[in-house]
Amino acid sequence: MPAIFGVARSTTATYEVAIDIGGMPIRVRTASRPFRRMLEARYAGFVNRSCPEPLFELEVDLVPPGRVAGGGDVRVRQESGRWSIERGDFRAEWEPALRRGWVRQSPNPHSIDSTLRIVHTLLLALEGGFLVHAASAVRDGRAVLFVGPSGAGKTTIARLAPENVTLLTDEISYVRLAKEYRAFGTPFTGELGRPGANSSAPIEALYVLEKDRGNRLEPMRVADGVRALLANILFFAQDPDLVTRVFQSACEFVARVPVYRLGFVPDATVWELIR
Amino acid sequence: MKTNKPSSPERPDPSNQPVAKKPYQKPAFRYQRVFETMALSCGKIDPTQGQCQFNTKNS
Repeated sequence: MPAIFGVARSTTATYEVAIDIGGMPIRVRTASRPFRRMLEARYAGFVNRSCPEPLFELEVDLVPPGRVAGGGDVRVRQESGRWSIERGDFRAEWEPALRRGWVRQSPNPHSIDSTLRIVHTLLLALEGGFLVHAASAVRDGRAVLFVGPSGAGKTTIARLAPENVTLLTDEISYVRLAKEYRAFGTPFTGELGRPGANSSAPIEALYVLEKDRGNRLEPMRVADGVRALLANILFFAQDPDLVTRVFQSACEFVARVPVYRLGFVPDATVWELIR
Repeated sequence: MKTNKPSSPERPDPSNQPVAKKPYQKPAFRYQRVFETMALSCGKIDPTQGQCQFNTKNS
């Protein structure tokens, strides 16, 4: 019988969905059939129906709407090998050693979505990758990332993509490092409201978006590239070791992948500048 | 014979000038946000608001 939030509880979840993002499948278990349906719809292209061995299981304990945890800000901490993740609308715990996690939230899609995003930031930090606030797309077998804060033009660039471009996401890009850096599609969508393709490709370049009066492309200095990348990497944990790793990952990424400043007007011609 | 060399008003001899101490200024810390912490589902509004909980189109 697992202990969650300091209280021993029995497992009642009967429905499950394996959500496989970035090749890291997580099985979500719930006692609610409507909640499972919501998960299947929201993560449609990322549901793995033949997933015998997920990375871990996440059991969702649904409670009536209202404040679940203390503060409105996200807090992510680790103590004795157990991660604690909380925001006003949810509280989660995750024990990597047990390959189990638990979430207490109301039956809404945003709490579980945020939990998944945060858990993936932790998984990726351990292996040299990261989630980044960027649109990404694949053309001719190579991926390009368009990084920038809200309003920078991620969704605009995604909307302007030519037909031979496969969109991986217009909001949150998934970056993993093996022999080379690869971008994976995610269901984390922005204003486009359309999940990315569940595929991946080696990363060709990173573009830092900047709305301008014309289209222009210029290489960025390494230090500027690292700064721009760091400011858009999603990371929440108060954990010095992992923060150091994410810093190193950003430096390594910029050392290997060319970074450009892309000034653009919202017009399809911007894609002519993209290699 | 002792000669007093008048100091020129245009070019004061720095060695004869009393050094005016600058008042101590506490070093300022420059704060710069490092990571993105808002790009969560409903990260920009109070997540306990009904608007966030029930609008499935929010990113």
